[in-house]
Amino acid sequence: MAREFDHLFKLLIIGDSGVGKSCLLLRFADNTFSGSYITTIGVDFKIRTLEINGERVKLQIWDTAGQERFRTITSTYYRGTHGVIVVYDVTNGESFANVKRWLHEIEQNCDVVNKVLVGNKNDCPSRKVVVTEDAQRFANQMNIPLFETSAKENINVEEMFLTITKMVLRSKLEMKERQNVTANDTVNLKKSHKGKKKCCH
Amino acid sequence: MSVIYSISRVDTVRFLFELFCEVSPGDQTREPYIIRKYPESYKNEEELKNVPKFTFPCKLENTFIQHYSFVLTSVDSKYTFCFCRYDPKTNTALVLLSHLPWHDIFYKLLNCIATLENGPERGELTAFLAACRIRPPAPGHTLRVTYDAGRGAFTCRCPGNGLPSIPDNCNLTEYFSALEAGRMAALWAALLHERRVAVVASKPARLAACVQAANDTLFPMSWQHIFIPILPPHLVDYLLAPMPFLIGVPRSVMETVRMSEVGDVVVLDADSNELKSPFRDLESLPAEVVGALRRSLADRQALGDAVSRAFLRALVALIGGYRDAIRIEKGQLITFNPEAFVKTRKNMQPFLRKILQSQIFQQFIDERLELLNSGRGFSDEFELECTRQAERAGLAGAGAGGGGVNTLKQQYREWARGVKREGGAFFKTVKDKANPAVQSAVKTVRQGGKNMKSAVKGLKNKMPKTGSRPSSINTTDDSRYSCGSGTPVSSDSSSTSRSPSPPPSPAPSPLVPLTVVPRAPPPPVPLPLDLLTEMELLFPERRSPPRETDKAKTLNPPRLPQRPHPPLRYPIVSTRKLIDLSDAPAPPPRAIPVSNFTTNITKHEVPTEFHTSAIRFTEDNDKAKLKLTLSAHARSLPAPAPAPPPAPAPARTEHRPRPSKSRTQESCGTDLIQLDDSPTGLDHFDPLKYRDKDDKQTIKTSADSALLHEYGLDFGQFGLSELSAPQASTHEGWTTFN
Repeated sequence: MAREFDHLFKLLIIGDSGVGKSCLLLRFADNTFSGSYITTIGVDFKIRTLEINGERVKLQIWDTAGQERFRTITSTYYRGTHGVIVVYDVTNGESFANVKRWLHEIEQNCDVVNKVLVGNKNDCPSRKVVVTEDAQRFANQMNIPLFETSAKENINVEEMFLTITKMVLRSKLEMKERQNVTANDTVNLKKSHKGKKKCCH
Repeated sequence: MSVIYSISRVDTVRFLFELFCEVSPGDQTREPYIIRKYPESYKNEEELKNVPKFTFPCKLENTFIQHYSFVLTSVDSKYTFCFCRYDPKTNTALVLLSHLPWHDIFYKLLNCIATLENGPERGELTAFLAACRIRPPAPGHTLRVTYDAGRGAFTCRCPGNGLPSIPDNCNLTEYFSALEAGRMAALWAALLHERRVAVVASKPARLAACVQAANDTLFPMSWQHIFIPILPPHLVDYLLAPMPFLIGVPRSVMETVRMSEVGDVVVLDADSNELKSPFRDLESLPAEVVGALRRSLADRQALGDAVSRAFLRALVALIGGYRDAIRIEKGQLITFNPEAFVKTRKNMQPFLRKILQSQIFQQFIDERLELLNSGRGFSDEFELECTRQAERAGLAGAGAGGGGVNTLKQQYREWARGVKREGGAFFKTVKDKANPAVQSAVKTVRQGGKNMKSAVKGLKNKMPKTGSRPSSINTTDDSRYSCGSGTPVSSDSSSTSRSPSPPPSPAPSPLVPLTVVPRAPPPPVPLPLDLLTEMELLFPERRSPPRETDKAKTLNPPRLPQRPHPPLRYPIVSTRKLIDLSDAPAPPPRAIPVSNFTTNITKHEVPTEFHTSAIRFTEDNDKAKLKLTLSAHARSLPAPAPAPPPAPAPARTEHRPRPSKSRTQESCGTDLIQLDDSPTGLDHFDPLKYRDKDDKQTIKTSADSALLHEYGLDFGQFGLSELSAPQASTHEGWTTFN
C-alpha cells in the first residue's frame, strides 16, 4: 500500500487564547484554505507534510478552545499525542505563568517526552515583558528547547516546528531500535510505539 | 438540568433564546441554507454559516416530525445549544439557538412555533417570538406567554436542581430506552476515563439525546473535552483528534470513516445496543459499585429520577469522599488535598488516583473550591446524596467518607466568620489568587459589559452582538426586563425580597450542602442548614435571595462577593405602577403589528400568583383570533383556581395572575443574566420614563428604524433581497430570504 507519508504524528499546541496559536499554525500549515473550526466546535487542526532525513512525515497539529479555564491540563488530554508545543505571549506575563504551571503538570504526570516552549509575538521589543533570560532559565530547568517566534513576521516559526518534528521522529526511531522492531510497516510501528508511550496508564 | 453544565462552559444568558431560524435542507444543487431568521439583527456569522450544515447532518427520514439538538462551541469554549424540529410536511427544520441546555423546554417552544406557523396567521409568529425572547425565568419562576387571546400558551419553568427524570427528560428517556444497563454503565465508565468516545445512530434525534444524556450521567461533573453531539459530514476528520472527545456520529458519516486511522476509540452503537472498546474501563471500577449501578439500571420500568440517581449514587460511592479532602485553615484559601482524597476510600485507591488525573474531576474540584473560597457555598443533589450515604455508613459503623461532614461544616463556618471579621479583605486576595479560569471569566464578563455599552460589533463575542441591536428593540426588551423577574421590589410587598437574610421559601426539594445540622436560630422553613444561607448572613449587603444565587452560579461566570454591589441592577419599579403601566393603553414601540400577547413571569410557590409582568401588544381586536391548540403547557401551572382575567382577554381555564393587590415577588437580585457590576446601558434604562413620555418615545422610535437599517444585514452580499417593505420588515423583526 503506497502511502504519501512514512510517519504520521499528532501534535498538540497549548497556551492561553490570544497568544497566537492559530497564527502559528497558519504560518506553518499546508492547508490554510481548509477553514478554521475552532469557533464552531472548539477544536481545530492543521496539516503539514515535510521531509526529514529522507523520511516523509505528516504532521497534524491540534488546538482546542478555552484551555485557559483549566488550572491544570490533566494527563488524559495528552494521552494520544506525540508532542506538545507550549505557547506563551512574550508581551503577556500571565500567559507565561500559565504555561509554567501546565509544564510542571506535564512533567509530573505525563510521559509526553517531546515538548517545545514557544514565546510568540516576539516582534516588538518595547512591549516584551517576559525576558528571554527568564524563559531560557525555565526552559533549561525543564530541559526543553525554547523558541521565541513571531508568527506575524514569520520569525523562527519554521525552525520551531522542524525542531519538534525532529524530536518526535528521533524518539520514535529510538523506540524502534530499542524494541528491535524490524518491520517497516508504519502502522505496526506506530501501534507498538504508542503502546509504550501512552501516558498515565 | 442546567446545573449539569459546569459554570465555565455555559455562556452568559441574556435571553431565553438567541436566535430562531428556519432551515431548508437544500437539494442537489444547493447546500442547506437558512430561509429566514429572527431577530434579523443577529450577527454571529460563524454560527449562521454553520447552523444549516449541522441542522441537516444526514438524510432525515421524512415520515415523522423529529426533535434533536446539536451544540456549537465558541472559541472561548462556551456552548451554544441548538434545538431543531424537522417537519417532513414542510421539509424544513425550525431551529432555536440558546445558551441554555433546556432541551425539553425548547422542544416545547418549537412546537408552539410550529403550531403558530402552520396556523392561519403566520404574522403572529414574530410577535410571539419577541414576547418569548426575553430574560429566561429565574429559578422558581414560570414564564408564560399567551397568544391567540389566551387560547394558546407557552409555559416554561426554570428547571430546578432536580436530577433528570424519566419521562420528563427526553434525552434520558431516549437513552434509557435505546440502551441496556451494561452498555450505559460501560459508556459511563469510558467517560470517567476520558476516552475518545463516538456514539453512532442513524437518527439525529437518538444520537443527540444519547450524547447529552451520557454527559448528564457524569453529574456533578461534566465533560470538559471536545463535545459534538452531532458531527456533520464535513467535519468527519475531527474523529482523528488525539484528545478525549465525546462525539455523536450519524451512521452515514461513520460509514465514511476508516477506523484504522481513528485509533483507540470507544464506539457505542445506539441503534444496535453495542459497545466496542479497546479498554476495560468498567472492569477497572470497584465491582460493588458497578454491580449496584447495573442492578439499578436493569429495572426497565424505572421512572422518575431512578436512573439518574443510580449514576449519582455510583459517583458518590467513588468520589463523594472529596469532602474529607477539603482543607480549611483559618485565614487561608481553602484547598484540596489529593493524597487525603485517595485515602477516603479503602478499596478503590487505584481508581481514585486515576480520576485525580482527569479533567472532569479537576474542574469539579476547582469549581467547588472556588465556590467555597468566594463565600458562596453550594448545594445540590450530589451533596445531598453524599450526606445520605455518609449517614448510612455512619449508622453501619463504617464511617468511611462521611466522618468529616459535620466537622467540615463547623470549620467552614468558623473560617467564614474569620473572613467576615477581616472585612472581606480576604476575598480580594482570593480574587487575585483564584483559579485563572475564574479570573478570565470575570474578565470576559467585564469586557462583555463594556462592549455592550459601546455596542461594539466584534464578531467573536456574543454579547456585543446582542448588545448592538437597534435600540428600539432594546427598549421593548428592557421594559420586559423591568417588569419581569428583574423587578426588584414592590411597594405593597408584605414580607419578601429586600430583607437580606431569610431566604425565600426554598425550592420544593430542599438541598443540603455539606451538612444536615439545622442552624441554631432555625430558618423560616425547617430546613437543613445551607452554607449559602449562612454566607448570606455574613454578607448582609447582598440582596439576592440565596436560593436563586445558588442557581445563578451555574449560569453565571463566578461572582466575587467583595465587588461593589450597586444599589440595584434594575430600576426599582413599584408593583402598582408597573401594573398600571401594563394596562396602560400605550403599547411598546414595536408592538404595532401584533395581536394579543401576554408574557407572564410568575413564581410557583405563591398561592396568589403575582402578576409580575403583563406585556400586552394590542391591535385591532379582530386580529386576535388565532386558533391554536397547545398540549404541553398545563403541567407546570400550579394553581387550580381560575382568577378573573384583568383585561378584556377571553376567559381562560388556567389561573391568570391578578394584576393588583398580589403578593410581590423579589428576584431582582436573582439576575441570571449579568454580573452585578456589568455597566450596561440596560441596567440604567428605565422603561417607565419612556413610557410616560410619549413624545420622546416617538422620536426614539423613528430614530430606531433608521438604526435598524444601519444594523441590518447586508443581503446584497448574498445576492438575496429583502422582501417586505423596509418599515414593516424591521418592525416585524424578520429577515426573509428568497
